[in-house]
Amino acid sequence: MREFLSSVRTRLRRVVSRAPGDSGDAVVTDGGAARAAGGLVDRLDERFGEDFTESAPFWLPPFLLVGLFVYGAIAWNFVISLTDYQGFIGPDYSDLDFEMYVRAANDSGVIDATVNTFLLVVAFTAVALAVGLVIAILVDRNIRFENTFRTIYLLPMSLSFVVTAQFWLWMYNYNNGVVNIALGTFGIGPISWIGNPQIVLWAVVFALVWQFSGYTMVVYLAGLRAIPTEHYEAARVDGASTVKMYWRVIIPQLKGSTISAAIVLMVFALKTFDFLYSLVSGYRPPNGTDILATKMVREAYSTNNWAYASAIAIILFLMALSIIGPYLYYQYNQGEL
Amino acid sequence: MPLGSHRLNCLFYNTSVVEEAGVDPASLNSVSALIDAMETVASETDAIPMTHGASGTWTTTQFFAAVLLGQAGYDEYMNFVEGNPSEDAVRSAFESMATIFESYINEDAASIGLTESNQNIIEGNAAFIHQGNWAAGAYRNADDFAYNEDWGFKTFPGTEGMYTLHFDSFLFPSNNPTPENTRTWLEFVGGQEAQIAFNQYKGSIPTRTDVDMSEFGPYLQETAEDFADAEQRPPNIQHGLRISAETRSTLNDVISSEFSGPYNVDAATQGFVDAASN
Repeated sequence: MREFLSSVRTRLRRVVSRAPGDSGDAVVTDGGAARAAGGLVDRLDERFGEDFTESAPFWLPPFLLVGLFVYGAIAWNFVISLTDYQGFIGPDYSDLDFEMYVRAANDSGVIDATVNTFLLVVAFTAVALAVGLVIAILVDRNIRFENTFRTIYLLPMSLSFVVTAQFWLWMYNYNNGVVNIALGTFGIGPISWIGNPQIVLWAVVFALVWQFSGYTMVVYLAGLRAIPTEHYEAARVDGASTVKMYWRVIIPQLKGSTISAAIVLMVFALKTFDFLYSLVSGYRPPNGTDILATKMVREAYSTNNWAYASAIAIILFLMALSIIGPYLYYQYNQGEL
Repeated sequence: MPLGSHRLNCLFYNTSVVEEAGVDPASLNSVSALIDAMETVASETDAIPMTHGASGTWTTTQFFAAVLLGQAGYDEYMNFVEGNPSEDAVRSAFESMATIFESYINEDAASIGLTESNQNIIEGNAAFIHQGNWAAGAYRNADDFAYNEDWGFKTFPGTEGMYTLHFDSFLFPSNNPTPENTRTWLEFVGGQEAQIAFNQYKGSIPTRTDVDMSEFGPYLQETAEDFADAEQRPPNIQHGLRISAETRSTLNDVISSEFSGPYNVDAATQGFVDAASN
């Protein structure tokens, strides 16, 4: 393998260097050897180290593919959002302006959707982390059938959003849904979960937390298991009650798990589109739950306003970046990137 | 090239529920008579007077079109569609709708869609439903649920003599690499054979008036006669005839925010008038 790579590198160097055919070294008067006039591969070698060019056949193809299909597509999306593309007439790339962004800023629908997206992301992440933490702490206490409980709590994650949306829709039915019937046994009157625009977003958050708290439980369980038992014992010896022990000693050590789980959850929350689309089997989710993703898809595929939808897509992209960006920077500072 | 047509100004009813309440659907000739009939059904039976599947707002927009046509008549309806809506006509349509939605529809309307709403009629839980005549397809497929015995049809009160248009069509694109093939296909689509074969299973009627209707059931034969004999054929709003996709989306936005939970007549009227005038 190494010989193969060296021969590839030599051939590449011969192809791109300015003095084809010579070995690349020339004798100088002080007895040393100077490099031939730098070819592309030589310059890359000096800048990034020889491993960079030697491993190029491995990382270059995926890099090009991702560059085209992900980053290229994002760039093209941005360019479309600057045009006035709508309906069946193709985009006119000669007249570019930020009109669509101005329109989005003035559209009450987009503003409502942004607020709902933000509320959904924050509420879902916070509640899922809290519920996952509580379950992890409970499961960690060496209970019987621990594996069974862990599996049961993790199973909802294996369901697709479409299935979850459909049966939560049945459960939230005003007349014969399980939730209202269960509340009825306690004497609490039937509540219109989907029909009431003030509560429907929280009903959706509840359904999503049900699906994802298994994931946070697993992350926290791993984090808890990584804490040495001495910490627990030392806290006990110092006379801490169980609650204080967890609150003061253990939970602060879960910071790493919390951050990584939170990032994953926030990205999932931005993808709630699947759930909301399946809830109504259409582009228009119930009043009060419209998020940027559903608004964007509706503008694109129902109303055919492609440029406007692209502008909303860029706004959503910036929102996601604002979540991932600080995390990546934090990891970079920690030296873990 | 239009292939099939569904009719939108329909009121379907479950005959046993309607008989139990003592209501005669054939005599309902105005929206206010319909509301009185719903009141009778509510007081005489346990059934839901009108079942409505509000999930997704399109059924409500469609219902608005029928109520506007039934209350304000063909000319006002055409004014709305062409961009000169009369605020009074729109407001009184919304007031009737608010009366119906607040008292006479099923309580879980927000969570159910067309299919489950239709089920209410088939199972005898509801008396009336307003839908396009694709809903009749579900009745035809239900076991032991025959036309005029178990379910019936009435032109939406106030719209007698009219046939609200809906078309399924194939288009001839202008930027077309194979114009000859498209022409051949469209000639086939316009021919009798295609129209019978397609519409039989879709539940719509052929757009040609000279097609032999013997293979279609009794309800569709009646519908085809109405199509040929109708005095006026207003275009529908929700399903893409006569108003642009942008306007339709705005109308649905108004329904979603102002007329889906608490029914705000003023805001909905304002929203519709603004959307239709643009």
